[in-house]
Parts: sequence; structure tokens; C-alpha cells
Amino acid sequence: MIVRLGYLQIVCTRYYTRRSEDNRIRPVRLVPPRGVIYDRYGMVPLADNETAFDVCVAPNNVERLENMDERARDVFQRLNFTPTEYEAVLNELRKLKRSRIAAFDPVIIKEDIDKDAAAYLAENNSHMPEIIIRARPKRRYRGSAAHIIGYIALVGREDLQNGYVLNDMIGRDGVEAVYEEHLKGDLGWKMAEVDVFGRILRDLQPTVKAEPGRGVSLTLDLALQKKAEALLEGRTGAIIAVDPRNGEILAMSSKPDFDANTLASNWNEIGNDPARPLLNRATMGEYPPGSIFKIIVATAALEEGKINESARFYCNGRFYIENWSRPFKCHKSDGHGFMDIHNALVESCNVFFYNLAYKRDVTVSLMHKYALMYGLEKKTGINLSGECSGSVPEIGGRAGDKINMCIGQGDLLVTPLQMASVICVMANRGVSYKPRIIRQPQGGKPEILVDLSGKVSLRTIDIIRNALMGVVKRGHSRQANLPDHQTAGKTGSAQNSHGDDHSWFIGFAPFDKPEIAVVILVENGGRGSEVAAPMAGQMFAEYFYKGQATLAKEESEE
Amino acid sequence: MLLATSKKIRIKEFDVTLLCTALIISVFGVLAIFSAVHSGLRSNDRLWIAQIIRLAIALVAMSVALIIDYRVLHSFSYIFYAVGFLVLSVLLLFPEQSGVRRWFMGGAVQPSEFAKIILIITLARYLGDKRRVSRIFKTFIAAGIIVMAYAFLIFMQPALGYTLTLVPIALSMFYIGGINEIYLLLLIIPGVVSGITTIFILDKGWNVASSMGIIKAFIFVAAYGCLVLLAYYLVSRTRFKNGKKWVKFISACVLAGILFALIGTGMLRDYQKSRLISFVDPGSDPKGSGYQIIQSKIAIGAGGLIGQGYLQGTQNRLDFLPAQHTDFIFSVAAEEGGFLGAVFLLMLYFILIARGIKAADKADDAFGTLLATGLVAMIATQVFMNIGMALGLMPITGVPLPLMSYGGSSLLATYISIGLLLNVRLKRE
Repeated sequence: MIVRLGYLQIVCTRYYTRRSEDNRIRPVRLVPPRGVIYDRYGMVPLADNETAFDVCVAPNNVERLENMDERARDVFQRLNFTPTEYEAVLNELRKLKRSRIAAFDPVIIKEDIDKDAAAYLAENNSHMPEIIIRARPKRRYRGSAAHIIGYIALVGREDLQNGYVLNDMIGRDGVEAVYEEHLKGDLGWKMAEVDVFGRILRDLQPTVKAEPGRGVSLTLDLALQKKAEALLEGRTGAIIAVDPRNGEILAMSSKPDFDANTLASNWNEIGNDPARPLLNRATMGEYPPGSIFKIIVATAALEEGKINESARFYCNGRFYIENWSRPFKCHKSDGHGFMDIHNALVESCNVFFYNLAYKRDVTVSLMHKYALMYGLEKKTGINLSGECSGSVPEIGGRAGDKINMCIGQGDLLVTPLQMASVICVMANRGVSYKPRIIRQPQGGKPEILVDLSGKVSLRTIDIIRNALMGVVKRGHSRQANLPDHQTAGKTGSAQNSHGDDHSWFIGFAPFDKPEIAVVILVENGGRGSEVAAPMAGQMFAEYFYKGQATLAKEESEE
Repeated sequence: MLLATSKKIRIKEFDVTLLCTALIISVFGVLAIFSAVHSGLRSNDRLWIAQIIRLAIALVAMSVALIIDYRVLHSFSYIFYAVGFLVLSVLLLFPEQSGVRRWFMGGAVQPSEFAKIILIITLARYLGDKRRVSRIFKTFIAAGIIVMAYAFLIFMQPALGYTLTLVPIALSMFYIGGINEIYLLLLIIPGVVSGITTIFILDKGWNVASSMGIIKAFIFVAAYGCLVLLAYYLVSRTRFKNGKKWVKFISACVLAGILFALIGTGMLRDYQKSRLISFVDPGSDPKGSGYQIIQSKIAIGAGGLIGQGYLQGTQNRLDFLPAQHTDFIFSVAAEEGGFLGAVFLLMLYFILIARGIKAADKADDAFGTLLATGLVAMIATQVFMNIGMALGLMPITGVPLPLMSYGGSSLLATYISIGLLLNVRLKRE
């Protein structure tokens, strides 16, 4: 026995000392809080962190769970474990214990329990030392701008090569994904002395401090964002509000959306939802633009000299083409009468544009050229993943192509964000800036996205701009105007194969010194003037009165 | 009447060393228990205070065992035996507590501890009475039945460890009592051989019933046969008296042991084998087996030469060491006291056992000698089984370390034994 003692304690003591240290000294991950995502004023968090409490048990203590007393049973009832769940947890722990891989390392058996239960467990820890409560920062989303902010998820196998470790969280969409490096912070480690249950008793040196993630400020104006979301509630579509002076996105909403807080637990349900709530319709949705495309057709016709300001066509409500038995109708069945370009845009007269296409030779390739000039069929380059580029037909091979395209139909597809750029070009008289969602520090120069100078004359642009003012002043879209700020815009009602027309409105305000441009798209919403235009009006009101208009209205109702 | 005066007291023979050694070990025991429970799981239970109270009770019991005339036990021994038999039988009728029936009153009393002393007294009386006819077969069988009856009842609890401690007790008393050595060898050799072979077979996971197993077993037996022939040849060349006869006898015994183990394990079903493994190794489930042994070895090994210091052993303090205040109290001492502390403790036990043997030697009558022999064998066996287990030399049997492990019955029984050892040496006709 003395020989054996000598063997263990003198010959092998280094080996057993190391084993002993391995038992009690455990590296503990220090998860840094992820950077907070703020709105444009840096005051209100859109995504921040709260403390979540997880219940952990070290697999080698599974027997203690098996032989639980009454009090411990009560705890598991408090944690809402069903008997089957409980059995499943036990089986999982047994398996881990048998596998002998880190059987001392506590594993989470219930995530994110409520604070009362956590407090109760912490209080009674001496009776149930095997049940460990661990706090960790948990992402909390405030329910706004889900698509822009995105979400985080557990790392996948492929991320492990990029410096992530198991159980790390990684941004998977939106700003969370694009600014991952900025937001994630650096994982820290500490060496801690633990007991057999995995309870941390004290910290040992050395410690690598966790570096908290840095925050970002978005360009979003939270009030406007919330307004946009409220307007779209119950509908399918997208709203974008952008500052035309620098391309900053003030609001971007896409509905239906999702709750990033519960996404992980509802992943299958949300992922398979036919309404596609994960799709950011503002950047990824491709739609026929309908009448708002007439802005581009008008630019092409004026700039190529196909018509001048005073050229007039007569609209009797229908338009006949050779070899085509049925007439193409204007939306006013008895016709608009004589129309010049200004009135044709104000009244959105289809017959005028049919005339441009068929009598003044505004061809598909010509429209294509100008569409590209306005930035269509190209991603805007916004800092969000998955943006789509739409498509613009180049050669009108088939008979219907031209007549469809000149009123923004057919194979023509655009994203709401591209339309935001188009309306910014109008607002800025020829220039639009690359849309941004991250607030730049002072002096961050806006990047030019579309510049028509040298390609399109200011005169042409002003003709169209004035027409856009006319639309809200005397056209269909008076509801998009404000009493003390002159707005301008264009509606669209895009026919599609899915049902009612997609309802479009793009506009800006104030007319003389534009500060805000909006794009409204409601899928299958109906006429643009009836659905989208009033929503634009509310967006303008929100922007200019900061919600005071609605407040006054509510008060008068009471 | 109990304090019969028919014997003189030889104050000179009062063994202060034995008593002091026991007391010193007990003090270390309380200190070790304090260390074992001062933090972690049982830190609220103040078990060391309970142990001090039990120590006081045990000392009172020891005084009684010391003062009475031990010959009184001689006359009461068969009555004790009958009572003990009854108690152990009744115990089996109680419902199981976590799979075993070892305790009365929720663990407060362990009858097996006292049953062992009763068995020793009874066996001492029987062998003492029969010492004139000790070498005949009938005596051997009768003494064997006395032991087997208790062994069976304790085994049924089930408490394999306690049952195994009866074997050295019985063998040492048989030997001192004059039982024919041939009978003892007939017991010892096949018993040891089949035990080792069974553990070997289970450890290797051999399935003797399968064809591969049979081939392996055949090779095993054949190799053994060659060894025997070699031994026979070598012995026949020497002038050792009756050498060939001894080789034949021993090899027959060994062969019997091997065959018994081979046939025994071959007949076992899988679940019976795993039951047997968990019998030998009750604290572990078959898949994660050896956890306790591993942690105990880590604790002892990490102790190093001088130990981690009192109350500083991390294996102990952080509860990695299982049952550290009962079965693995030695590991606590070795982790915190190191090689030097552990060797010191072993020396104390060595002195204790040596003084006990001396008491057997100095006893005035056959009953006293046999009684002392049995008691020393009991203490020594428990010390070896417990420390052997902590060192990973023996399977886990759940035998407490006398005088150190937390537990009243073991402490009480050990001090009664020490009282009797002192008593046996002190009295003379």
C-alpha cells in the first residue's frame, strides 16, 4: 500500500495534479453584449440586449435529477416541464454522460426562463446544487424594422472556420448580418474554479475580457418607421421614406414581417409561410411599376425630341393598334380629351402614352435606355443583403411589348427601392444618392447613384416635376398633399396576375426644397390614387408634423 | 456479576499504545470529516459535531467492553448468536432503501457491524471449546456453518463488501483455532483463483459460451497445464519432502478454481454479468463505471508528497470526490496530507493492528486468543479493503475505514472491539 501511495503521490503526482486541475478549472466563455442598434437620433434602441437566464445541468449529475425530492419536482413544474420533456432532457443528459465528452460541463436544459423562476432557483441553490442558473446577454428586438435590423442565430458549421466557436450567435440578415463584425464584439474567456456541479465558485487568472460590440445608428426615424408599419398593418407591401438630399433611409417597412425575438422557435412556421414574411419587399420585391414608369417614358419622349411640351393627343378612352382586334382602354372610359404631356402625367392618361409609343416612335429600346439611366435593372447597392435588380425588356419583339411597357406593364419589373431612387432624381432635379441605412458620422459624403446631368435637360425634368405637383394638386392624389407643404408625386396601379392591381405611389415634399421622398407599394391594394396616395399623405404629415396632426385629430374626436 | 472477580487485573498489561493510537486516528477522523463537509454539498449539516458525539458514545461503550469480564461473553455467545441471526433475518423483511436493506431507523443503526462482533465471539467460543478435536472434519464443517449462516444473511441485504470481510476473519480464526490446514487450503486456493479468474474474464469481456471463448479458455487451461508440468518436473528434481504431493494438491485446487470460474461465467447471462460487475462495483453504472475510483485516484495523486494542505484539497472541497466523508475519507486525508500524511496514517493503523495481534498473543485462554484474533482480523480487513479501494487496488465494496469514516455503527463496533482487545490482554485467571 505504501508502494501504491508512492506510485500515485510521487511518481504520478504531476499527471494526477493535472487531472485535478482539469476537474476544477474550467474555461468559461464571456459572451460580450452585442452592439446596440439605434435609430437616427441615437437615443432609442431598435435592438439591444437584456439578461436571459438559462437552466443548466452537468451531465454527470443526471442521477441527482433522477432521484429528485419533492422540492426539486416543484422546481421542474415551475419551469413548465412536461413529463415527456423531462424524460427527453434526462435521456439527453444520460447520452452526454455516456459519451464522456465534458460530462462536467453544464448544458442548457431550458433556455430563457422567467426572472421569478430564476430568482427562486438561485435562492434554493443549496438544496439543488446540480441545477445551475446562468445569465447571458440576450438580443431584444423592439419590434420595428424587422427586415432592416435582421436577426441573429446560432452559428452553423461553416462559420466555425471564420473564428466563431460553437454556440456563438451570428447576424443572419439585415444590419445584424452586414455589420456583424462591428456589432458582435469579441468573446472573452476566464478561468474559473467550479465544483462538481459546474457551479462557478471563484474566478482565477488569467482573464481575457469580453469586448462589447460597438453600437450603430441607423438612418431610420423611429416615429416615421412606426407610422409606415402602422399604415401597412394587415396589408402586404412596402413603404420607403428617404431623404433625397443624401439618400438616408428614414423609414423602410415591409409587411408581413416577423418577430425576430421568437424567430428561432417559429422558424419552420415563418420560413414556410406562403406570405413570405422574411422577404424584405422594399429591396427584394419585384413588381411592375405601372403608371409611375410614365415618368421615364415622358423623359425619353421629351429628351429624344419625339414630342415637345405642347404636343397634344386626343384621348377618347380607347386606342386601336393594327392587327389587334380589341382597343386598349384608358382608365377613364369616355376619354380625357386633348392632352399635353403635363396633363397626361397628371391624369395618367394611357392613350397619350400609347400615342407616344406608336405614333412618335418611342421604342422599347429607347425606354430601356432611359430606364437604365434612371438606375433600373441595377441594384442600388444599399447595405442590405439580397437586394434584387428587377428587369427591363430591351428589345420589343412581340406585339404587346411596346404597348405594355409604355404604361409600365409587361415584363418590366422594379423594386420599391429603385422607385425611391427615381423619385429622388425628380426631387433633386437630376441626381439621386445611394440609399443608406447607417448614419454616417459628420462629413460622410453621399455617394451619387444616378446623375442625369448632361443626359437629360433640366427643362425636361422640370416639365415632369411640375406635372408631379399637378398630380397632388388637381389630379387623383389630392390626399397625398398637405395644406402647408407642397408635395408632388405619381400614382401607379400595376396590373398583375395575382388579383387586384398593385397600388403604387411615389412622391416627395416640399416641392421647392425636397426633404423627404416616399415610395408606397401595396400588393393587390387596388388603385394607387385610392390606397397608396393617402398613405403617402400620412407619411408626409408624420414627417412634417411629427405626429402632431394625428394627435390633434385624436383630441378632437374625444 | 458482570464484573466477576475470578480474574485478576494485570494493570501492567494495559495497552496504552493501542488506546492512544485509536484515539489519535479518531481525532484525525474528525478533522478529516470536518474537511470533507466544511464546504460544498453538506456544508450545512455539521456532521463533524455528530461524529464527536458518536465518538463520546463509542468511548463509553469501549469502557464497558473493557471493564466487564470477557468470559461473560463466552457464556452468552450462543444467545447473542441467536439474537443476531434473528435481527439479520428480520432486516431482510424490511422494504429496500435505495436497493439495499442494511439499516435500521433510516440508516442510524447498521446491524451488520455488530453481527460481525457476535460472530467473532461465537466462533471464538466454538473453536475454543473444540480445540481438542479441532483437526477433524466435523469441527471444520460446524465452524463453517456458523460463519456461512451470517455470511448468507449479510450477503442477501445485499452487502457484498461486508460479506467479504468475513472471509479473512473466519480464515484467521480457523487457523489459530487449529483447523486442519489442508481444509483451509481447500477453501483458499480455489476461492482466490476463481475470484481472480472471474474478474479477469469479466474485465476482458470474454464470453466463454461462444466458440472464440472456448478456444481462449482452452488455451488458458492448456497454458496452465504446461505450467503445472513444469512445476512438477522442477519439484521432482529437488529433495523437498512430499513435493510431488503438494504440487498435485495445489494444482488440483487451482484447476478447480479456474474451471469453476470458467463454467460459472459461461453460464451467466449478460444481465447477470453486469449485475455481478455492479455488485463488485456498486457505485457506478456499467457505462460510466469507475468514476469514483478515478476521482479518488486523482485526489490521492494530486496530494503529492506533502499534500495540498488542510481544507485545501480541491477534489474534496469541490465535491468531485464522491462519498468523501464516508467511504473515501482516506482520499481526503491523502489529498490534503500528501504522501507523508497518508504514510503516517498507515503507520498508525499498522501500530493498531500490531498491538491487537499482541493482545491475542498475550491472552490468557484460548477463547481470549481467538476473540482477539477475530477482532484484529476484522479491523485489519476493513482497513485494507477501504484503503485498497481508495487507492484503486480493490473493487469498490463500500466498507468504511475503521475509526475515520463518518458513521456511528462502525465507530461503535470498532471501539467495542478495541475495548475487548484491551480487556483480553488485561485479565488473567
